[in-house]
Amino acid sequence: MLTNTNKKLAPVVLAIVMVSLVAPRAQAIPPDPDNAALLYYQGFLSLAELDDDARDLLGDVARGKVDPNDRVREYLDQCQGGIEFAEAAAEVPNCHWGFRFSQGFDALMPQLGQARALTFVLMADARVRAADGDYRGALERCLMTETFSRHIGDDTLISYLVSIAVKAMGYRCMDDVVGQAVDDAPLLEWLKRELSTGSGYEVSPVRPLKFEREIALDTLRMEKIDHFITITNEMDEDVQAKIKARTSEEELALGRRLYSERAILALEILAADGSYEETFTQLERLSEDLDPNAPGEWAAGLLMPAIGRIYNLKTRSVSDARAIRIGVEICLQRAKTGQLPKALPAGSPKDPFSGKEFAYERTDGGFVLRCRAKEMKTERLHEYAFAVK
Amino acid sequence: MNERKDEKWLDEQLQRAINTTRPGFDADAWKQRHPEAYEALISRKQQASGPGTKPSRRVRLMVGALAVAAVIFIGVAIFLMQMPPGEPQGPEVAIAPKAPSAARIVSMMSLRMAYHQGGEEALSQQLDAALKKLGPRPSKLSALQVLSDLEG
Repeated sequence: MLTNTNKKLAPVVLAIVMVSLVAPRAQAIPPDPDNAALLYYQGFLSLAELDDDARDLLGDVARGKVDPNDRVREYLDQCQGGIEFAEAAAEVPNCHWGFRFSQGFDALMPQLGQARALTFVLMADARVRAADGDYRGALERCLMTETFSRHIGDDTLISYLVSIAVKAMGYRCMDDVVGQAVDDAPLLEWLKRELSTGSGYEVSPVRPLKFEREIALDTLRMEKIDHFITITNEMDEDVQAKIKARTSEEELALGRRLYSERAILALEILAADGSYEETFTQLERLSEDLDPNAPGEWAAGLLMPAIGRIYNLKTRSVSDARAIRIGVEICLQRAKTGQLPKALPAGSPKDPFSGKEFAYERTDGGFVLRCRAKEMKTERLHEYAFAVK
Repeated sequence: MNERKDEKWLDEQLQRAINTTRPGFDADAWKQRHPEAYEALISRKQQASGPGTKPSRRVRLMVGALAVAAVIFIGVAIFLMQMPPGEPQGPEVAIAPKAPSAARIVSMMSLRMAYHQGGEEALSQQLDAALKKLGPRPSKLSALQVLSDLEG
């Protein structure tokens, strides 16, 4: 009876059945977040509420000042939920914290304190793993800080500074673990590959400096002067009143011009990629000769970031990254030949402070890599000790 | 004026013109006059209701329309299931004037000032202080506890 019609309708009916059966099931389990920040926020909420002593102990273990003990293991067990969220976040390429640029300098960044706490937990966990002989697991945790650092990002200069600090902690832990795993050539080869495989994006002070210039120019306006004085943390009402009385639109216009010129100069100096000493000296000069008694200059000076110091941290981060690469190469030679090399491996990257090769010294306990020039202003000479067991 | 009214008007005009009642169909008389034709008609009707017979064009159209309607219905249902639930339209809440918040400790300006004055050390201290003041939240609170708290 319905032969021909059935033939025509059969595919339609089949399609209806397929769609009605398959589509609801495909939608039954929605995908995980494609924004790492959402996972980190959950991780922060899942960290154990630790008292000051517990937090200090975790911090000391994370920095390698104290060996892991049972209490630390217990704290880490309590933080396992947070660690798992961080592991999941490390697999997600994109990370947007939802920073409210519209709020200008008044915008809140509560995630940064939490990010530091999570870093301590991750690094304490790495130290525990290393203490248990799980060097691969420990190094994987250290490498997580590279991703975490990139995820913390450079939306603002403060985010950038925290990002650099997180990465530095990971490098310090790696320096310690690599020396313990000196006989494991395959592991060192793996680490060498991991370190040479960049994520494709390096956090930089350039991006936030551009954003903050726009925010500063928007802030230095008469209609926002009350708010500006409030957010400068000046609590004395008399001082606030004096600042307000002496400030005029002309003064703020001068402040805007000074700030803008110096921010642009800072960007040019950073882009020029000169020597460390030359760059630092030029950047430091940008914060000088602003009269704190002239309201416009005072305001510009207040908003001008300590760009010289920020550049110091950037250079230190480059130095840390290069030192660990060289350290791994030296340990690899030790694993292959049974002896530490007499000189730095050929083609080793340079110390960014001096532009020369790192100083290399074999010691009783292992070896040390040392920068050949001090960090300016702090007068610190950076060195990296690798204890080889 | 519609078609039906036209027909009625035409019937009335015809009746008036030929002076007779409305023409009707006398089936019994027709059956007696044309028995072969009647038999043929009966047998065709019986065949048409038997198996393997093609449905009428109207039936086919109806089935097709039903299939299309089903596809559209399922499509709309899937689309609606995928749509996020709408924002509940709650009563408007009056916004209280801004009070200085403890969270101010993590404002961009506050953190910048800390770094400006004391470098990384001061920045780290302020972030740690913020952590003590603002979080993290207790992790021991289970979903069950939250529900029982909410239910009083």
